[in-house]
Amino acid sequence: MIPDPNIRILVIDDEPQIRRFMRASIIAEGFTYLEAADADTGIRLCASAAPTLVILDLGLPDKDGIEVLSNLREWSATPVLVLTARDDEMQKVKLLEAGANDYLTKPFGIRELIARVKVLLRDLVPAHTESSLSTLEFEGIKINLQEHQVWLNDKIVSLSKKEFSLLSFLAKHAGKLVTQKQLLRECWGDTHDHDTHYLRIFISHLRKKLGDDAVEPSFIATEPGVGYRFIAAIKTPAEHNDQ
Amino acid sequence: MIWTQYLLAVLILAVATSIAFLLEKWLLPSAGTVLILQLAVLVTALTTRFWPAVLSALGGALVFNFFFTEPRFSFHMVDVDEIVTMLVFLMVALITSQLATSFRSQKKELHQAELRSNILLSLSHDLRTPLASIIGNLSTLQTYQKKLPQLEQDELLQAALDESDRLHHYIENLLQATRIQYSALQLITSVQNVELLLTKVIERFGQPQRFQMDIADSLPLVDIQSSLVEQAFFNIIDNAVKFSPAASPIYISANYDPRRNCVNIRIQDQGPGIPAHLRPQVTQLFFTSRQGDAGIGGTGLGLAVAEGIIQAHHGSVTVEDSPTGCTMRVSFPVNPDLNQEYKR
Repeated sequence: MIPDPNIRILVIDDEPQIRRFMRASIIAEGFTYLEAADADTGIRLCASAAPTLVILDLGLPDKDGIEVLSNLREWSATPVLVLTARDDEMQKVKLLEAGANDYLTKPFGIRELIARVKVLLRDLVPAHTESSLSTLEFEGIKINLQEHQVWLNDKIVSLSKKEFSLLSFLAKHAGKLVTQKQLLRECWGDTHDHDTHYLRIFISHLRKKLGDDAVEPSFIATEPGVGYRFIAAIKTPAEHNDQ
Repeated sequence: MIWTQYLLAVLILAVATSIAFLLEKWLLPSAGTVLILQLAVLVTALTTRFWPAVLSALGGALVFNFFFTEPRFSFHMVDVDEIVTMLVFLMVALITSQLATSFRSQKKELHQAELRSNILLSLSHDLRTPLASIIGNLSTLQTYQKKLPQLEQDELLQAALDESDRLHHYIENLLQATRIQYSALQLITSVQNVELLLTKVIERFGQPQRFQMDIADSLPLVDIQSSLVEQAFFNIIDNAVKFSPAASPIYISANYDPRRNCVNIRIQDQGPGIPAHLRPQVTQLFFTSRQGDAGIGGTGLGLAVAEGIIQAHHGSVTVEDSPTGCTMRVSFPVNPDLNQEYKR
């Protein structure tokens, strides 16, 4: 991604030490950095400065993070990446339902944060993810959406209809967290919201066929209790030409 | 006090009996009197403990027998219906007492589980926050070193170091708190000068202009383990620094109290102070003004550790009334063998 000062990233966090390194790295990436130390200032900045993306810490002194998120979602669709100090699945599900686009548990390395930010920013450019492309190409795997075919290192893998729909949905949202609910609705319909055991079974079949390891995945990573994330790196056309 | 609970049980029963007695005169059928007595047992069971409730149940049965069955005002019973009523009353009353007791104990357990989960939440926050800074600052430095100006690089490195210190201090307190909890604090004491010790602690804050010292001349020496007591004073002064406006003065005084034969050290800040009803709690382990992982407040370790250390030296920590801010008083007993001139 090229540096673009038109991309404004707002960090809402009360810890000056955390803001310091986020500022350094966001500026080094060539984006414009905005910051707020409390929820009220943060919400005001969201309205006045129209940030492209918001990084929101949950442990703010003046307001509960979920409250800030729901307030924001009433009038803004800006992607929100939430930072939380709790490793609590229930809370993560609640956050995603309240409209968070992704979350990161403290402590985290800066590369992880920037990678998540870039995935969310990439989603803002619709052509890339939504299927104007008929073929999605990643490191080690290629998916043809029209002909329902998958190549693993240039070898065709045969997948069932359900397995293919799971894989293609995850791959279309590459890098993004996809919740269990989203996957169930997409592949089984609205009435199967809570049948997470279906999902576990089909994902494990899919992993077996792709030769993927659940513990150290190269394609499908599990976010325990929350959902899945397709983690293979996208092969860009430019990279293709280089090789 | 257990006997006040029995007294309360008797009182509630007496009130219920009088109400039943009066009502029965006018309108109440005898089934109503039983229900009013039953109510007395329920109220007793919910407000006191199991045995007072049992007393209330037995008393209620006797009251019913004595006042409300024929022949009146005697424990003699003739009517089979009334005998059955009394036995059922007794059974229901005993079951009620049992249920109310288990309800109360479950409520207590729930409260303790909540407390434990809050402590875990606060522990996780206090460990993760400095770690998040350290990892964040260092990984930023590693990833963007070439793009960052020298000043910024230095700042990132300094921040990582500062946070490492904070983490170290926190873990130190956590270890000390564990030792205090298990009474495993082992003291190796030596004779120390209070003024020197306080000066050493203040140096660690790196802002000497904030501290105004008033140390009495020829203060008696105290027999303490200096590393531990330094940690205790550091925690108390750190609290004063944290909860008062930036750059506001912090007054530290020390004098000898001949009446109690002890050395008093007072630390006064210009913060909001501690409301009187919270004062007994501030030195409790994990007590903090912070809520969960949000809001302003400490770790709930500092003052608890300070008090634990000072009590191990037979001293005390007290929150004193003070015209402004908060005044903490630390007292150490004076050992007359070390200080001949203070021998009484």
